[in-house]
Amino acid sequence: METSRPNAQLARLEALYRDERGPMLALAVLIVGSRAHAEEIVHDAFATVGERWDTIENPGGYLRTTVVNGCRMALRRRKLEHRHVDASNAPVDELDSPSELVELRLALDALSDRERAVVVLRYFTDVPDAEIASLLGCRIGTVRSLAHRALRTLRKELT
Amino acid sequence: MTMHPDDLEARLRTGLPRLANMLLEGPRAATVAETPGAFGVARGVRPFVRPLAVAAVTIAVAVGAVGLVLSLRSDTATRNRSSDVAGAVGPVKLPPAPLSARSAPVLAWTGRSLMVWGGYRGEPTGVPEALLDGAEYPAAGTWTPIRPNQWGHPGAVGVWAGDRLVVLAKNGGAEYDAVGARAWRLLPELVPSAGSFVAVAESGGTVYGLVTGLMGPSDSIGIARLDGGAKVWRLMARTRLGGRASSFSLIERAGRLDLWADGMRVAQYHVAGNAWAEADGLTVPEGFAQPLVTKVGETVATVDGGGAQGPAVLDPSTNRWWSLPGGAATTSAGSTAIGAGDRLFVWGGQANPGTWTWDLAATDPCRVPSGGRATLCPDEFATAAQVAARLTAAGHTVTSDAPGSRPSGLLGTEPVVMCVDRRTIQVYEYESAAERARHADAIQPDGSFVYPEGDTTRHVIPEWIATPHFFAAGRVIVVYVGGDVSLLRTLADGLGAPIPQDLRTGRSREINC
Repeated sequence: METSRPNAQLARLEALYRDERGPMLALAVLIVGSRAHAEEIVHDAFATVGERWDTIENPGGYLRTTVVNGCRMALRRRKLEHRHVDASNAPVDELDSPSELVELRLALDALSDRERAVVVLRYFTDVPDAEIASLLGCRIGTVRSLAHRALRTLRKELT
Repeated sequence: MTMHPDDLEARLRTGLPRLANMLLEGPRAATVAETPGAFGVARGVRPFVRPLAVAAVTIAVAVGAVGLVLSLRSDTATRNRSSDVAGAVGPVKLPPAPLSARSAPVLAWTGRSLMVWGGYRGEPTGVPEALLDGAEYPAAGTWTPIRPNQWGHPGAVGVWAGDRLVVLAKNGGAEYDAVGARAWRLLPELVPSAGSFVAVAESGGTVYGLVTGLMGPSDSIGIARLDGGAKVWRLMARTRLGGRASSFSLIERAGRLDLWADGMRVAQYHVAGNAWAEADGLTVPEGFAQPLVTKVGETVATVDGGGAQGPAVLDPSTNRWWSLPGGAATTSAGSTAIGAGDRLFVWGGQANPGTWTWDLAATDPCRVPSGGRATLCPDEFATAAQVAARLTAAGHTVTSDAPGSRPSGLLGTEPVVMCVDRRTIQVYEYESAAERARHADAIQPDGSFVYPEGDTTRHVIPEWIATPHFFAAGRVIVVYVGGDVSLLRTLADGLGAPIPQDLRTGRSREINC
């Protein structure tokens, strides 16, 4: 298989991959909680960006949107497949998991998928609420409502 | 008690990056993430794999001198280890210990937890203040202080002895019962008292101290055995090997104690025979001001107590050292280290407080040639110009003029093409040793390249015009396609053995300058 894609475009695509793969993996793993699934989502997102490179104005923004959408789709799919997941059974690794991180992880687990996405985008990626609304396909008021509920739950779980 | 909103937001801003790191780094953390309940993700969910796209596009470029890309395919069946470490090559920093900044504390691995005790504050050449407190991690997933010792000395060394921590210095020491009373008790003093403990090891449940300053020849050193029943020291055989050194490590290996003196494996003490023998003289990499050696898994690691270098690990199959990625930022004067199975813990020293750990089984090694004089890989062969200089020094004629050749771009970047005695070689330069290692790992014995991408791989199969030879060192990969024995020997001498190949093309065409 060969491609006629110009070298300059390839270089930019490679640069995007180099610069953004790590942050996108971190974003995805915080939302879906699984490294393997985060890698799948990020890989697919890069593949989509690569396919549509010529028509995308802001590849970085498009990539993030695709990753967030990928996370939501994955969670939705798994929720349908595994309705009986017990969130309290996650074992704690003594060496790699400081207790405060385990607590934080379990607290995030208590959130709904959309609440978790809002928290991660707002406090990890520092995305403004208006952009979160665009990413999640809802109104900015909904984002603030989700954030309010999420913080209330987290406060309860972490105290 | 309710958490203040600002506190919660601050906790999220600091905690989320660490949580992401925990979930992405290391096999154990990944295992946790895969278990039921991790954000509602269940074990055994069938991955939704899509055939490769972006990475494949980036590799399909003209290959010029070395061949032609025949095919690309996505393969979900094979996934090698480098995919697990490609994005996680650095160390993991543990949470801050409840201890003041200090140099050279005793580190011990109990089998379940890391113990840190003692050390000193101040300049070792002045009057350092001995510190008597310690802490343990991760007895309960976080640091727990251990009871302060009433005995201490700035130069103390220590070892875990099955159920207790033994610390020694000068002609005395103490032991901490970590299982029962969780208290310290003094050990008997060494008799005659002329000697000083400078290193310690455990073998078969018995503690052996290395003693300098013994009566007799000033450069003689000896072993003192702590008799468990009577709690007395017994002086055993002596040696003059390494007797003039200033830093010592004693490493137990199958009933024998390797003596490392000033970074050289100089002697070996046979426990059963109570006899010393000369060792192989293997040395730690150059540039280690105060090399300390610790056992890690089936090999050893070294850390620079002077803080000039990051830690390095010995590859026992080749006796070559490889530096740990991100290691340079973890050490300072007073650094020390301890092995824990396949893990290495490094204490950062007084000027660089913190504890770092590497999972060596998941860390991408950066192998460099040593022959007893290895250099850390980020500093060795960082550029094609350095490779050219090495070849020129070996008597070859090197020019940058290679007419008729075209770079291949096969290994993720455009190479520098150079002419060596009318033979063409390509030098691929990378920004880091880890990046170089990632590409080196992609090279397969059949001359193809396999790059893991999540649960899929991209496989590039070039058609070689002659047998390819790959040499990886520092931050470069050198590719030579051909059979010039003299050039191959020189490349191997300078860059280490080639990456093993079983490809025999049956072709012998070469691109000559």
